[in-house]
Amino acid sequence: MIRRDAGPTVVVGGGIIGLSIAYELVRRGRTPVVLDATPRGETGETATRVAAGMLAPASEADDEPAAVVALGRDSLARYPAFVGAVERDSERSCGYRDDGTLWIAVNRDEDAELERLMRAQARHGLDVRKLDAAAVRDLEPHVTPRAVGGMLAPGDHSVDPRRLAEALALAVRRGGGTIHAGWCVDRIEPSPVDDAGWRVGGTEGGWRNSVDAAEVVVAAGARVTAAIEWIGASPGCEVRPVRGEVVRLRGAPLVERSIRTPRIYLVPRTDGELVIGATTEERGFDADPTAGGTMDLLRHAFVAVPGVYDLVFAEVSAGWRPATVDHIPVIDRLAPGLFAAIGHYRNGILLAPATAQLLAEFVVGGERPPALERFAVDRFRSEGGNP
Amino acid sequence: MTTNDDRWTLGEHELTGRLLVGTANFPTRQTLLDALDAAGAELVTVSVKKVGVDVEIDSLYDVLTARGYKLMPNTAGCYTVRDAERVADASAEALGTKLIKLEVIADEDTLLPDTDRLVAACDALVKKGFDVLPYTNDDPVVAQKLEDVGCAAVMPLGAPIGSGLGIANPLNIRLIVERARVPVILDAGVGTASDLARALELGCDAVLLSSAISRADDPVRMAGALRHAAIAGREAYRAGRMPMRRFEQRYSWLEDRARRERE
Repeated sequence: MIRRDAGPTVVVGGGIIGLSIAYELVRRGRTPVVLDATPRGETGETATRVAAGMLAPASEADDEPAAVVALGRDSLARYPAFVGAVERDSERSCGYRDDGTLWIAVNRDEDAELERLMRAQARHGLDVRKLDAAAVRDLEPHVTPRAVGGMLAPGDHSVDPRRLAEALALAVRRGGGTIHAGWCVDRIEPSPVDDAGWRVGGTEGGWRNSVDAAEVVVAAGARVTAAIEWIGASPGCEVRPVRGEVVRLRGAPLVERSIRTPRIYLVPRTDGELVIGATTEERGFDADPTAGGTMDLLRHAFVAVPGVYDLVFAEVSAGWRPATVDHIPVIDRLAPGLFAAIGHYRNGILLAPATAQLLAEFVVGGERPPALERFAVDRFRSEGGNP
Repeated sequence: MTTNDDRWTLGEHELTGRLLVGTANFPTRQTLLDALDAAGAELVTVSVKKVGVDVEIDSLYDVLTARGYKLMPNTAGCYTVRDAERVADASAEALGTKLIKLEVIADEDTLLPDTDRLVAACDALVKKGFDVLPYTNDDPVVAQKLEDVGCAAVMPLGAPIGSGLGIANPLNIRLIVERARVPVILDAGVGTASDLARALELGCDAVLLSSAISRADDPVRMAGALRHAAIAGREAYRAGRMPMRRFEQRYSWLEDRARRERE
């Protein structure tokens, strides 16, 4: 593919996917321009901001599509090197941990659900071990004494998405890329001045503006369908928001590993933050966390780890998972020079390195990497459309 | 599904199939749509409280209606009668149907109904003009009260919601079926295909289920199995099963026919 000099590569969206793609483009010698809707100095209501950062292809195996589990394992394998490079280029730590996940069951019904999860993971060839109650308590003494059993997924890792996003942004800028905050893209259309290029339009600080680009990568998260008119977008790219509420507590660390039950997860950070999530709600773009959502998360957390009672309440927030109809991302070239990396649902943090590296290869090299075949937008057309 | 000579009426709808499906808690939207298709569902329930009605993108209501499903809103998530009434009003306005499945839950762990408040709430909603379908327990006395206050059907549970334990008390279900003059729809407890067939063989007009599909290892395959079970159970009921007998008695088809003629 001939490199056009008609303009930069524009990345629409500065969340974990957009920033990771921009970083991988910088590493391949490009100077991307990232347009992010959140105004400077404000915190956006985005999945990246709310996410806990569990990197756990094993733990999602029972109701995730096989394509997502496979990409998740690929991405997890890339993670240590990815984070290492970002930390070196930004001189910031990302809070990466490789302590694994401990699933626990507090009654026999939950234990049966864990058995079922293990069957699903065995089908995917993932490394998990069933534990009895005593073994659970040995590993994590703060877990409830009522636990009847558990399951260890030692290959699960975690990262702090907020710190990773900040580090990525810094690394992108140091590598020559630019990030514009407060740029709300609402239109992407073929460029009127360059046959092969694209024009990205929107509002910046209340004024209409546009950028002409040789290539565009759309990574705009849950708002991609609602907010952006794409001329030339393909059927199957509709993304709807699936809201998730997450609570953050703070205090002395109670657990070494991420703890999961069939209801919730608890992800510890080295600085004493404990992230508890998450609800799953079809409520459109309604942004306000509810009393009930918060109560349910805290109640289930207390049942799993009673010591949370004494932690300090730091934050409750809601974000939107971007969902395509089959919950599989679309990572593909939609038209010459127009790429999409959308619909990561609840796996954006985990899938960021693989998405970014494979898509950057696609953008720079011009050929679709085989690993991206299952994420092509054509799958909607060939099944007769109508998602 | 079944032949067209087996139509039945529920509120404002005429249906041929005997399997109604709930739409909550599916792993993906596509799995839900594929499962509803495999089940041959005509009427599906949606929780108006939990699924936003004015959602802009891919609203579940719009998607289901576009595919030809009839919608029955339910009051899942309501803890008080006042709340249930508000939800009923909101759903009538948003979805344009008088049908409402009413749940008044006594206990958050078992999700068993509070039957006293349920009867009172049905009375109030029937008077407001709704076609009320109450989720109730398997007590024939309560089922009769619900019919007496004017409910459009009664929906006794087979076992607690999400338990998959099947039909705990088939004798009571049979009693409810024999006495009811409105449709009887078994709601809750179905875990697999044989539970559904059993309910229809007991004489239930239909079965409403959700977890049997959404929590199966292969939801779409289970939905297909349930579709077949609904046909099998309903046709077996219409065929009139052979009498059960202790096998030390000698079989005589003349005796059976004579007994049937005497009844």
